[in-house]
Amino acid sequence: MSDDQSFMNYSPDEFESDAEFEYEDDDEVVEVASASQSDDGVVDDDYDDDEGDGEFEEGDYENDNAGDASDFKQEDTLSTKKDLVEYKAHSTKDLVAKLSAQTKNISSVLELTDDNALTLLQFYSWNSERLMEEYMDDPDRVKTAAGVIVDGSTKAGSTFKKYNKGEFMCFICCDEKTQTYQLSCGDEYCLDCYSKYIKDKTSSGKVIKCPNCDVALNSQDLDFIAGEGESFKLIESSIKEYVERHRSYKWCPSVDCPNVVEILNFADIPNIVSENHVPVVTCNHNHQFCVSCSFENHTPVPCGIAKQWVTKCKDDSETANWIMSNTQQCPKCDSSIEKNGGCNHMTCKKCRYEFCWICSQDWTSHGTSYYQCTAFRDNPNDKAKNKEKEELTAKQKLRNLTKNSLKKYLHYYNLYAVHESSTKLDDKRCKFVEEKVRELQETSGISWIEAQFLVESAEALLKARKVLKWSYAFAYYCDRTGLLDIFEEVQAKLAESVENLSKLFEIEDPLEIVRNKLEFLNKSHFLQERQKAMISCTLESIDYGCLSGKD
Amino acid sequence: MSSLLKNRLQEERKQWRKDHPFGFYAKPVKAADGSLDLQNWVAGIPGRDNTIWENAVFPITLTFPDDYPSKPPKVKFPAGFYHPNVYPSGTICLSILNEDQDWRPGINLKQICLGIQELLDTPNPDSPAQEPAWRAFGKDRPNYEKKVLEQAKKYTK
Repeated sequence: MSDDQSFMNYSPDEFESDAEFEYEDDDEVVEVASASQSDDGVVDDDYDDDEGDGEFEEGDYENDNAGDASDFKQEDTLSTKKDLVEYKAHSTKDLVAKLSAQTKNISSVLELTDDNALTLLQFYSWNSERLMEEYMDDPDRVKTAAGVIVDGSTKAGSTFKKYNKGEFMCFICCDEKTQTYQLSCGDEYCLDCYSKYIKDKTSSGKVIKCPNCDVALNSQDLDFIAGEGESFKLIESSIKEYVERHRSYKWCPSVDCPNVVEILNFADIPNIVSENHVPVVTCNHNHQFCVSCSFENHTPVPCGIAKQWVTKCKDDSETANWIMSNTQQCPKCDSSIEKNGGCNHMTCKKCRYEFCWICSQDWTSHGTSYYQCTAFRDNPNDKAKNKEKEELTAKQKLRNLTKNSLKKYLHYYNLYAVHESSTKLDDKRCKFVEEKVRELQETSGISWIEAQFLVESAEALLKARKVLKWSYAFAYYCDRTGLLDIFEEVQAKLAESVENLSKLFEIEDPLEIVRNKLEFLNKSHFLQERQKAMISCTLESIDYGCLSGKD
Repeated sequence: MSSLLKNRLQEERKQWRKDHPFGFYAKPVKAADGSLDLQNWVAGIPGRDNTIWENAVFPITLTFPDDYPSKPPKVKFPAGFYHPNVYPSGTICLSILNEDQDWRPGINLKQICLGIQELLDTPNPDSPAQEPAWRAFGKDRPNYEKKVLEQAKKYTK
């Protein structure tokens, strides 16, 4: 087997390709890919056909959310103790290694070269079962479709060629070029066009084929034409494909986070969600997120309500509500008009229609009674007028109703938004303080372990604030009952503790911070207790049917 | 027009003039000032003998985008063309003409034209582009053939 298969020799720490191509500087044709790679694959007896979804190889993975309550780790307070998500956190590198293992597996079972197995797997979007099934049926058809064989024979190898000026014209750019590349199919193009073509296609994660026919380019071809590492880029794009193919894999939704979480009990997720628990996982970069919503950890709010809230905040429904409660439509052209002062004699800016703000009637019928609408007093017994009046009060009522619901929404939204921005400020502040203390460690010899309290406190603060923030979204969807009063009391206490701890982080002097260690520990411990209380209070409220889910 | 685009289209024209399949034609259209507009071509696809498409040449237009040959040309029959894989607008649904499917920059005009000729009598029922022809092709073959023959008469050589 040729030794330049960078992907197959991959180990997480050194993934640079060690492929080396040689070509001489004269006009001679140089063989690039070796032709005799086939048929030396050894069948691996230990083939494990669980490869694929939901494998459980690394023992009984225990989610650390299950830690006991006295443990100082905060995970347990954020998730409930039953119905946990079982998961494994992966980095992109782990996945590359995993795909490489899968490729090795296929190559040994189907007796192919690793390179060909890789092409086949990419062609089948990493669905090894389908590949195996179809391969067993008709290997030649599968190989031809994926482009690893041409005209029924194994690929003969690719060639890099050099020409003198005027000897070769590339059909893609239709220019005379001196350096070209030719695949076993005989199609030959200049290196520039080839390289541009490959770089265009790498992000697809799919097999890259000859610019004219169905022959596949293997990793040597890719690395030679587009520079070393190009085949690795294709593998990285393949990972995207792989994660999208397998529903039990989820990308971490944090901005620019390259980590993936593999959910081992994927089938249980709907149950967990329907029990109003939030399936929270933590990625390798310590980001917590809900795997059902692919959104930040929104404990204690159940997934459905969280989704409702986020959509509500995002869309413009509230703008519409505002327009409804604060404007009237011009009776003639239906433009929205806000009355920002002046008398009831309105003139529509658009259609110049003159009407009365109170009764929406044509202004001419009002005569000289400029400042008081008399439209109803004129004929109190007139049936038609009475009906109009009823309609009008109904309209008014609706307007007041939307005005009230808008008020309620804005109240909770403001609280929610305040804590969201405070989270960001806290995050900054905590990092700043940690930096200060790190300096202190260097200058005054405080040990790392002694300074850990600060990291823990910061984490506790950020988590508790998130819970607090989401509790406002929860309150918005609750009916006003006695239980809600209790809920709000617990909420107020949590808010108080959050503010208390947040205040401690305002201390500037590092020495002072260290002196306050006990205070930090006490406050964050207290905060955690209150956070727990908040979560259980939320769950209780759900059990008692407080959560109506209505706007 | 970028030089890459211009070079390639001139080369396509040269190659076509040197050698093209029997019964086909393809040429750039003339712009208003009488010069050739290389980005817009008209071509004719003859129906294969011994098929219901025979004895007719079907006109198509080819529009080459600025980033051709990275992107495929847009190829259309006249609007309302009767074929299961032709949209009501006339746009042809063929994998080699789809950027996200099988388009590759090395595919030349001859391959495109032959591909379309092939498509005429071997429609792909899995990717329908219009309802009448697709439904008739699947459910009412005599009616489908009648319609195709009527259409072929319109484009008799």
